[in-house]
Amino acid sequence: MLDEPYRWIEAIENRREYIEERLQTGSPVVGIAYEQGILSLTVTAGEPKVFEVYDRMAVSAVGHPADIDKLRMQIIDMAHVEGFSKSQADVTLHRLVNFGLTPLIKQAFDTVFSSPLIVKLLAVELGQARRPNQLYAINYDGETRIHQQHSVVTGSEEMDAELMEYLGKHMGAENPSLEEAIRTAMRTWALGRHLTRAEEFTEMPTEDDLWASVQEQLDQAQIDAAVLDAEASTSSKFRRLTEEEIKVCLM
Amino acid sequence: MQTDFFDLLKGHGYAWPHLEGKGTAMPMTESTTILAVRYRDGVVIAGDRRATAGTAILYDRADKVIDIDTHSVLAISGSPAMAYEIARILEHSFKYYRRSQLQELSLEGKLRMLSNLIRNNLPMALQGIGAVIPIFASYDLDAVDGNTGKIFFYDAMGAQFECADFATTGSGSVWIRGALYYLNCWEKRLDTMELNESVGLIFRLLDAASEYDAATSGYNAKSKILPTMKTIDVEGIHTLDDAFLQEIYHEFVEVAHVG
Repeated sequence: MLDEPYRWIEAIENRREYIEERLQTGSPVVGIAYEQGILSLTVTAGEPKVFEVYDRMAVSAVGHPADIDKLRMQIIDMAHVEGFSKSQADVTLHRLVNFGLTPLIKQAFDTVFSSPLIVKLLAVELGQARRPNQLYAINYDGETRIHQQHSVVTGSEEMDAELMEYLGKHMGAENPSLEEAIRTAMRTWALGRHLTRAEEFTEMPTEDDLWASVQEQLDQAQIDAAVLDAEASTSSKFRRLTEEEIKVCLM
Repeated sequence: MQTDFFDLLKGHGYAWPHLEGKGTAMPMTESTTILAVRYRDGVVIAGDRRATAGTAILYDRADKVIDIDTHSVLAISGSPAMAYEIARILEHSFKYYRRSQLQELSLEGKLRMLSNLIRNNLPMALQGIGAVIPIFASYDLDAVDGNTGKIFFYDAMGAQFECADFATTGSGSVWIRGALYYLNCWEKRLDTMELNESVGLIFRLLDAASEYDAATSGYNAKSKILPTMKTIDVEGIHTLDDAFLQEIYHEFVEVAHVG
């Protein structure tokens, strides 16, 4: 069946369609660099979606829990073996993503006879010394987008672009405070939800609409948010935010 | 399900060092004085700074008290090469467990992990060149009996013992164990002491150990090298800074000296 090039391209297209359909309703994940760290935020029905990877790294995701876990473990294993045998300083997101994760993801995507990975990741690394903050949005086919201030991963490419534009408009040149970052991330998430539900995208909802939508959704789900805090005194910079911490910002 | 970092390492080709044939009488850097005592708010762990090989002093700034996670400290006596390796594996193991399993490893689990590592090192210990005899101190946030500061010591085979009030290890420890026992029984309970008092006592004991054990360094006033001391309380680990230590040393060792 796949002996002709055309067939293979067709198979890949089908695969793309299938994965995108499965991802479509995924809860968007937002990453924002704030004054003293990086925030990762999403809303989940229960399972955590933001994970600690290494001392200065976190990953969050949209997709099937089993696939998320598979990739999460992959990157955690690599980081720890590397950090142990060399140094913590040698564990960089650039290497983990480009030499570890994306080859695996691309291979899984291209192998049309096996079941695909239904997952998109947002991997973030807290910068230090001469390394800036890095936010890697990794697509289900292994393509990456790299940003330094903010990034977002959602169920579709169009929505990724839409939310990136929204973030670009609402973020200043300076990194915001954590409170502002949480509020912006929440609104961005709400816009994502709004766009998923809207049959046809006609006009931008107002800020009030977005807030109303946040409140409504939070009745059935909870916010999962964590920071990589550069001011933390321990070697691990990851900290999950408590419900109270988040609630205060949303008042 | 992969939960053990050490297994993961071995899967990546890591091999625990071992020697073929009989061990040789090579002078090893294994002498030291380490002690941990409970005080009012938790545990103080201290170690001298000297590393020796035979009668030679190799190094006078060794750190033998190592942070493992937010509330655990490993203090090492024995072969430094193996001891640092064990500390490093342990630190990575606890983090790996937390990050992969999305929950903290229990205190029991942590103790078990250390026990396994020490047992792994048994061939090295039997060869006479790589024995590691550590003290593990932790603050048990889940303790129900209010007994929160915990001290454990191990033998070279990995057997683990919990100490009620204090533990000592290293070549200098034999000179001070009796003194600690005496103090705790008939002078003042160690776990009722304030931090100042506890640290002052540790200074005196390290001084006593260095008086009788050539492999333990006292306070070196000329180059201002102080012992390493850390506390673990409910908030976590604090490394006591030099200024504080010098003040206590002055008050409890120099001024209080009657000889």
